[in-house]
Amino acid sequence: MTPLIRAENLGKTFGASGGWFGGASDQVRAVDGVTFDVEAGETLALVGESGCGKSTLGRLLLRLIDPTDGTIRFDGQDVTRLSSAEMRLMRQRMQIIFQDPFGSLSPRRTIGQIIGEPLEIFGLTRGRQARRDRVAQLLQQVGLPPAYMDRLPRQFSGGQRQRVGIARAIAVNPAFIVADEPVSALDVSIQAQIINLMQDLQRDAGFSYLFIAHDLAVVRHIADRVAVMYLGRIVEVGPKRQIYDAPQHPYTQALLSAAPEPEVDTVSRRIILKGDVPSPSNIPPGCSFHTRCPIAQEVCRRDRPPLAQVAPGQLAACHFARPNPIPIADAA
Amino acid sequence: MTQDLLRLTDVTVEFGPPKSPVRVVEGVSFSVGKGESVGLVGESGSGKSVTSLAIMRLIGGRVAKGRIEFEGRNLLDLPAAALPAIRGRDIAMIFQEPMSSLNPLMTVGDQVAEALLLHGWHNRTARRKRTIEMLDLVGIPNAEGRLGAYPHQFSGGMRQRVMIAMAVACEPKLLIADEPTTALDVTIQAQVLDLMKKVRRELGMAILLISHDLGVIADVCERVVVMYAGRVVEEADIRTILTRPQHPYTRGLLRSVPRRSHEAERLYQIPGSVPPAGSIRQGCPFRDRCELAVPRCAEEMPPMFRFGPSQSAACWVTAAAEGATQAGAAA
Repeated sequence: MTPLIRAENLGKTFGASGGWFGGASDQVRAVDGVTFDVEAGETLALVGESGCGKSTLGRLLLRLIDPTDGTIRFDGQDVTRLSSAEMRLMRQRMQIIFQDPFGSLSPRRTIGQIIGEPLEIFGLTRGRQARRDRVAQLLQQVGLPPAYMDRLPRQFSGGQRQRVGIARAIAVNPAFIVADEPVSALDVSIQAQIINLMQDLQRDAGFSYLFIAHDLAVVRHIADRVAVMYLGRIVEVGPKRQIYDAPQHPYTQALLSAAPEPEVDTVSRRIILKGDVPSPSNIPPGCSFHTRCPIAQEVCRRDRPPLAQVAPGQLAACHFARPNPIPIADAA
Repeated sequence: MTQDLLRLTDVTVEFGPPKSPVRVVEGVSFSVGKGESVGLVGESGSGKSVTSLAIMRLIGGRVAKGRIEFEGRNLLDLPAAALPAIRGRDIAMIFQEPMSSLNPLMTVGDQVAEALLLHGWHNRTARRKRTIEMLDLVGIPNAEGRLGAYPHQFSGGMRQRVMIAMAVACEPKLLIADEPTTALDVTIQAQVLDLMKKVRRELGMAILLISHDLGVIADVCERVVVMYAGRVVEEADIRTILTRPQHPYTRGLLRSVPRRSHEAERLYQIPGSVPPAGSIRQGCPFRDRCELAVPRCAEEMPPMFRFGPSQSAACWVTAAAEGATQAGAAA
């Protein structure tokens, strides 16, 4: 069976090459040789810290920006070769949910206009009344009263705005949704509401999510598989249970242990990495994580480890990842 | 029992015209002991940041009621001219976004040194030595060589380290940290939290840490004050809050935090959203979202009830269930 999305060797370099000011050093390799699949109906979580290229990767998949190299297949079709007219049709099947859904929308348009816009563009409803009916139905689906359709965004709380962003994304019945940090700006008590809503909608409609996040706690409840990115590359990917119970890459292990949890006596298990994330315009040679890695050896400074299988469905890019790992006992 | 360094009693903060004020913080009381680390936790609109700014008298609003005592002196009675001497020397503060608190045109070394100069370090050589010591303490590699660097040459985590160096250079008795790691990546947050604990240990100062993240507070603090819609709803030592929370809001907040260490089929969610500031004039501000609410909750704001030696919470229902007695005015 072909996966819904297949990205192969996907890369994106920003900045001009060989310019006036010293050429290659102006370039930022934001995404580098990334290969992965997203199956129909599944949620792949993409996790990494700022500057790791996760948002760029999400935008590449939707062709909101064009890749420098590599291919993206959607339902078997290479979308990197589509004309802009063909791509526009394709966009009906792929949508995006932003961290701040109103950051790029006019504050003067009503909620009904915002949600109704994609319906109009793709000709999914005929006439004003049909569109209003559909918007009312969508508002109900995301847990908002239909009467809100005549209100303006500023009258809404953060959680309500994200519900509107979700309604707009699902309006066109997409097969694939990129959710770029959809709950990062929300209060804890509201985060849970939005994650549960996203799960409910997926169960009913069967679309796939690429769920982008900066920490592993949030995605544990929504992901089927998890991919961890560092400096433009996927360093580990696998089924959720494997990633949380037997992470093989030292970066995944550190990321898992770094976020403090409201639990008694969790501090002792923390792995604290040294230093900062290097700049993506100056990626270290060999394994790009070696400058912060607690177990780095000479080979890591020299050779880049390939993303290799360590367990069924689990791949890690580390010279010291062991195949058939013994599961590490996690927190009680 | 440690001696109180800071004590807030019945503090109410209002914004807007005096005739129709919006009460953003109401009747807040808590204390921070000498050398103690206390967390102030709440979601947006809880009034936690306004409370912390009120302590330093840095808000545009009015403290309409209450007392804010530092070492027994009511800061609200002090003339404005007396404040700069207290800020920095007795109480220092760090914020979420270090870049907006650092001067982009001034070297990092000069900024730390300026804090020292303002508080009496007149000898240039001693000041320079102390500046290097401080940058070294907060983990700036090659501190002496970085004195001439500008803030933009530092990463977010390094800037927060510089802010901490400036804040603690004069060894304040209290460090107020308002969401100091919220803008940082998780691996950098872990470094900065560790640094705050180290600095506290080495300089023996008290910390008031304001955060929306109970995990961050559990990591650094011995005691927690939970705020909701401008009021303190629960207070206890950290272990008690995590294991036996008594206020339904605290319970809901703890249950809705996604954990990496265990998985639930479905995340627990508190229904509804936080009421707008000042919109609740009567009764418990959490009642509309509360599973336990009874008619009395809409009529009368519950006082703080004492549930144990270190724990009190403002809830009619759990207080009755646990047989808790009303706490004194100083909760």
